[in-house]
Formats: sequence, C-alpha cells, structure tokens
Amino acid sequence: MSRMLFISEEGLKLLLEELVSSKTVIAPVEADGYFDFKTLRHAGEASLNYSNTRLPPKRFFLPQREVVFKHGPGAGFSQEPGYGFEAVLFGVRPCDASALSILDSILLKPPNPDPFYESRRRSITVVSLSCTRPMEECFCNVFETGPIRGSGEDLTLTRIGGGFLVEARSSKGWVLVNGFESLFRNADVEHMQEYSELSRRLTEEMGSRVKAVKERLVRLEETLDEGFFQQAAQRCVECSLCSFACPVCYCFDTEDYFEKNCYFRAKGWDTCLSQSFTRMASGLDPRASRVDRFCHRFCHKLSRIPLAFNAYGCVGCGRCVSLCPAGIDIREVLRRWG
Amino acid sequence: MGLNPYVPKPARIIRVKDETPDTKTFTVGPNHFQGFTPGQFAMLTVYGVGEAPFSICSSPLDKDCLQFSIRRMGSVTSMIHEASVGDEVGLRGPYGRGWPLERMRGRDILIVGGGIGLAPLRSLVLYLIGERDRYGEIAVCYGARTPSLLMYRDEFDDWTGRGVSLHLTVDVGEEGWRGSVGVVTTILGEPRLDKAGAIVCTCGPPVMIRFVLRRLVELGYSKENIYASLESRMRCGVGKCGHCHFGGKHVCLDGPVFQYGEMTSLPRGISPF
Repeated sequence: MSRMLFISEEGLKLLLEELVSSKTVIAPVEADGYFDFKTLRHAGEASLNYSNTRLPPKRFFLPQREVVFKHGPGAGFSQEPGYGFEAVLFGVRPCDASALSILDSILLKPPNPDPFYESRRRSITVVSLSCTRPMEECFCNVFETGPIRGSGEDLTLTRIGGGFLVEARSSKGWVLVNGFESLFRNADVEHMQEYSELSRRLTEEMGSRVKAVKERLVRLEETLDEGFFQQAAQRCVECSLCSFACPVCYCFDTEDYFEKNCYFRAKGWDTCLSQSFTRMASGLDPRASRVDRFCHRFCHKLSRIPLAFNAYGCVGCGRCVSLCPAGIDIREVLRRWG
Repeated sequence: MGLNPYVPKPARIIRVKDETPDTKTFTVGPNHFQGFTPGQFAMLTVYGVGEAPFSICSSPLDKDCLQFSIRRMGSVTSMIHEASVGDEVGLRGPYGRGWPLERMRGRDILIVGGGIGLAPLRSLVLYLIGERDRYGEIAVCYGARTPSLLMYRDEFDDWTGRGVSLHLTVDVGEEGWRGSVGVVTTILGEPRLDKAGAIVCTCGPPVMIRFVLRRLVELGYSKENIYASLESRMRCGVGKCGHCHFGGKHVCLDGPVFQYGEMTSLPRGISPF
C-alpha cells in the first residue's frame, strides 16, 4: 500500500468546489429517488450519501453510441474528432472502478487497442469512494473488487471519522493530490487504525454473503448443467437490462449510414442475449437457442473472459440482480460453481 | 494515441467475375495486405451500408491486388453485387490466423473444400503452386451441390497442370457431368498421400466440416495435422466487439483457422463436433 493521506470533510468540500470551477467533474447526483452520474454545475449537487448509482459510469468511457469514422468524398478519411476530454469522475464505487481495469485488459489489449476508450481512460481521473454500506445484492468479495478499494481507480477515498483517508493509486491520482497539496496531510496512527478496523468489519460482512472461489468458475465451461440454465433461460424475457446496466459488458455493434454527403460508421452497445448477435447473413447461427445465449452470458463473464483476457467479467456490483424483471440471479451460478 | 483500427483503407474494384449464379469474384486494388497469410480474412466495407468479414481468395504472391469471392446473401453482399469496376470499397485487415504454412514445408498437403468454402483454400492453392518445389504432393478434394456451383472451374486445368491432383464431386449431377456424384467425404480416400505426415486444410459448411474431420481420422490422417477454417459474425475483426468470442477463443484472433484439438474445446454450435 502506498503512503496514506487524510483530507477533512471540509477539505473535501473545498476540493470539489475547486475542481468544479476548473474542470468537468462528474459525480453522483440524486434525482427522482435514484443516484446517477452527472456533470456537476456546482459542487453542492454531488451527493455522497448513496449505496451505488443506478447505472455504472461505463458510458463516460464507452458511450452508448459514437461515431468511429467519417468518410467524405474529396475529404479522404477522417477520424471523428473531439473524443476524450479532461474530467474527474468523482465518487465511483470500487466495484465500478474495478470494471474499468477489466475493460482495460480487454479494450487496450495489443495490438489493436480501442483508441476512443484509451483516450478517455487517459483523460478522465477516477476518484473512488469506498463502500461502507454494501447493498443486499452486492458480492464484490467474490472478485476482490471492493468494498474498500478496487483496481482501476486513480485515487481511493475512504470515509472515516472527521474526513477521508486518501490513497493515490496512479500518477494521475498523485497529480490531483499535488495540485491541491494544502488540503491533504499524512494520515496518523488513529486514522490507520480506524481504516483497518473498517476494512476488517466490511470484509467480514461481505464474506458471509456469497461464498464462492472465483478460480473455480472456469469449471463452469466444462460442467455446464443444462437443466439449471434451461430453467433460468425460460424466465428470461430478453430485455438485456443485465447487459446494458453491467459495468463490464463491452460488446458492440456497428451501423453504417450516409448523411450530409458523408459516410459514417457508429458503434454502439450490443448484447449477447440478442437473437441476431451471432446470426450470420446465411442464416447460420452457432448460438441459435435462447439457452445457448443465456449460458454464454454467464460463461463469458466467469470463464471465457478469464481464459481470453486473464480478468473476470463481473465485479459483483449486483445491478443485474436487482434490475432483472424475471429475478434471474448470477449469485446462484456463483454459489453452485464457485 | 493508437491508430484507429476501425477505419478502412480505400480500394477500388478492378474486375468483377461471375463465379457461380450467386457468387462473384471481385478483384480490388491496391493490395493493402502485403505479405498476408493464406486463410486470413479482411473486413470489407460497402460505404454507407455496412461491413462484413470475407476470406482473401487471392495469393499473397500477387502483389498488386486482392480478390474476394462473395455470395449474395445479406445487405452488404447484395450491395457489392450491384457494384461495378471503379467503385470504391473499404478494407481492413489482414486479420486472423491463416493456414499453417510453416508446418506444411516438405510435407504432403490435402485440401478439402465445400461450396464457397473453397475461397480461403484457393488462396492457399495458388500460393503453394507458386512455391511448388517446397512441398510434397498436393491434392484438392472439392465438392459442391451442382457442377455449376463449383467455384474457380476455369482455373482447374492450370492447377492440375502445375502439379495439383484434383478430385471433384457434386451432390447432384447435371447434363455433361462425368465426375463423381456424392458428398465430399466419399472422395477423401482417392488422393494417395503420406497420411501420417500430411497436413490437411478444410473449409466449407459446418456440417461438411464435421463429417470431413470424422472421415479424415478414419482414413488415418493425424489429428494434430488437421486444420479447419470456421466462420462467425464479426464486427471489429480485432477482438473487441465480442461477436466471435466462443469458449476462450476469438474466431477473429485465434482463428479463423483452428487445429483439430482446438476445435474440440470450442462450445457446441461453433464446434464442428
């Protein structure tokens, strides 16, 4: 662990105000009973009293739809400009921040890193806020993506008495700290004791929920129990909420079109639950049945992404569990195969 | 910042040839893929319509242009069938893992194709006959539904004249057809090759690949020397879009050419077993 710092409650307020006045700050804002990431107009809008946001901050790195090239007659090829902007993403939970490090393993993998994602990862500073009140459906303990700290964040804040413990996790994190040096001081022994105590309590609390060993999940591919998945797949209404609300789901589709005398291609979120996801023009479809698509969703996250990218495709944020209208619960898969 | 891998390079259609009633072979240039491996594929863009993966069917020894045999099927293929010489298309690639050329040196080679599945194998045949003395016997077993659906018919004499033993079959004969009638597995025993050492490359409809693999093993070909090219829907070709991710493998990165053993661990549907 790197050197721990401390910032007071008042200091954090000042920091947010300073940041909002000088750059784009995206933070959880409460509206209609939900918390969602929004660009702050003033620091007071940010709400830090949330369990988690309704949707992950994925869209700031992977927009729902974006133009990837434009090709105009006479103009040659041009890359759609304007992607990537300096911003601070504030108050991300460690699970959602960890999802970014998983996306890094996939989307930045050589030799063809996604330049749009790469640019946003470089220009957005991710400040996470430890989770001190995990929700009933959370299971970050399985993937070690929380609740105190995950991976993928530049700065990790943990609320303790009178303020926050601060851990810079990357050079971007240090740049932020160094820019506002006067607001931070070294954490003292009492702070560290409180932190260890909190960490121990939360780890214990989370650990008693879903007991699963993530390394065992690779077996899922080999010992797929058709009956189990058939039952769940029957209930699935193919709404794809689980994919679209997932902080890790990254699959995309493309769309070509002609507009204002130019050819464009856009890419946008897709989901492996869609009937057309693997269907070829000939009509052949290697994953034609709903059960097969359904199995793939779980296998992809728990064993196929690990095999291909050495990372797990799930961070245990619990959104797919709470949002599924059919009550389909990935934790059952974890309990059974993990 | 890395280069944008989603941007195609422009190319023009140089020639269009009717191959079969539903398939045309397009010659495009310039050849952006110098030094590609036979069996690799390209993402071909019809601007404003879409993009799809196609096997490169020309030889890498042809430095000036690339060829693609395209069957009229969906929106992209229907639009390109309407295209004429001089029209612009976009190309990205070459992508994927091609046929195992290194392992083929000095060995006998059996090539087994079905229908339009001969396209990625034609690239291999043309390459092999261009470097003929580096390889042992070369045999091609090729089947189609009818004689008029056999691809590259006008090149067959050239292939045989340059040391390829060619075995043809059709599911249903037509007037004047004097060759074999039956599925391609019925002629797999014809070529006289060193079965234990020969490298086998196959491509065709999934059901054909399944029975070809089974028959090859029965005939005594070694599993570790058998390769097949599989197809999948793709959007990016570079392992990012998720469409061709089956099991732990991406067809676009780890394939489209897979070794026998690799295919046994692919999930149902994409696996030919």
